[in-house]
Amino acid sequence: MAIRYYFMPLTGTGTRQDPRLPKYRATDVPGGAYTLLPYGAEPICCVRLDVTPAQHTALTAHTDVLAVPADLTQPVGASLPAVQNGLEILNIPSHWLTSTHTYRQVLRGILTVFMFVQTVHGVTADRLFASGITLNTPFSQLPAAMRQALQDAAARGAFDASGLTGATTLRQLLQELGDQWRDAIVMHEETF
Amino acid sequence: MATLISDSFPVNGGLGANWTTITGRNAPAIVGNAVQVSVGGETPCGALYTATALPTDQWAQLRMLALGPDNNYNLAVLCRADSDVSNCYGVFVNGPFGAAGGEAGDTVTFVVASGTYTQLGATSVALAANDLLYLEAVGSQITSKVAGVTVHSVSDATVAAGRAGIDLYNLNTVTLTLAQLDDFTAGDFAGGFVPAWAQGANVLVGSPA
Repeated sequence: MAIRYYFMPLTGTGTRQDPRLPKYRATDVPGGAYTLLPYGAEPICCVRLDVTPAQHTALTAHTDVLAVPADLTQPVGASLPAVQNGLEILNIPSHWLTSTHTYRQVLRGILTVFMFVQTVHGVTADRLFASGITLNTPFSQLPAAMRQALQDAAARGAFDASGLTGATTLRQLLQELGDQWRDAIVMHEETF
Repeated sequence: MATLISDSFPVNGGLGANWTTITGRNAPAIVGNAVQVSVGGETPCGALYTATALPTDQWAQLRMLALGPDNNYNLAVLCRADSDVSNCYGVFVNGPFGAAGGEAGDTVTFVVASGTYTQLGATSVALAANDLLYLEAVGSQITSKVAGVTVHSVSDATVAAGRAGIDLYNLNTVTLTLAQLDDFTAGDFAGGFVPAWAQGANVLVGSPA
């Protein structure tokens, strides 16, 4: 068994009877313990699982699962383009990544963005990346309700959004506000 | 750390004036000095302790008395809940006692964000009658425990504040005793000292540690 981190879709409609949970836990890691951090209302999460080699192989066979290497101390290195591509598909900003970042640093950076987007989800049920919205969408072109929700979330979480303008892209906004997250981010026994 | 709320449900009937039924839920009932559902079926029974406001850093716990034969029966303790639990943190346990495997016996820590339920963690735990089910929300760290043992510890920034409460689910419309709890307590973290009895250990709150 080994502790592994994955970016994985959430399944479930989000009701009490059908809650959102990791898409492949029941099929590939039945009964396996997990903890996860959701990307706010987006249907993906970062999930921590204790898996066997066979379970890891089954999980990585899914095209919608992104596995983080087991050794979090290793740098991204030559995998940088693949890592960035995988994250961008999930609407996770990756422009800040370099080949010298370790995977632990990568996870920390991503999860700080998740923490801000969770704050947004506490304000609105709407998805940030609704139809037509991408990381390159400027703040001014977001729906009015989402612009207000982002401002409300920033205020509630004591994020400084004073530098944001209408031209700020969602990519910039998420990274700049995520960067302001200073608390430890805990996933069971691991702290990022 | 202080205990600000304590209710051992001494009077049979409704939960009383200190509690408010969660909007959209049925009211729990006190029978035989234990809390159970007043109506079995698909709609849970839940209530928030509204007589005492808790600070944002808060904990709550209950004692599990009965838990039915499968995952159609569960007990939950809630923190930072709003009136209709469209935003809250919680931890629930599936029946039955003694099981640890599959969905039955799962202990699930969850967040409700603007009405959307997401399971932040699920772990099979062998449960026993009289175990304490505990949840704390301190800053962005959410920790759940069964019988004093940490089950989940995970960060989440969704819900900033709210009430502590209970939620019971019993699918059986005839036998209402298949999910029962007692000894609800809740409090804050003022002072910083965290005695064992207030961390979900199986000792009644107020008893010598």
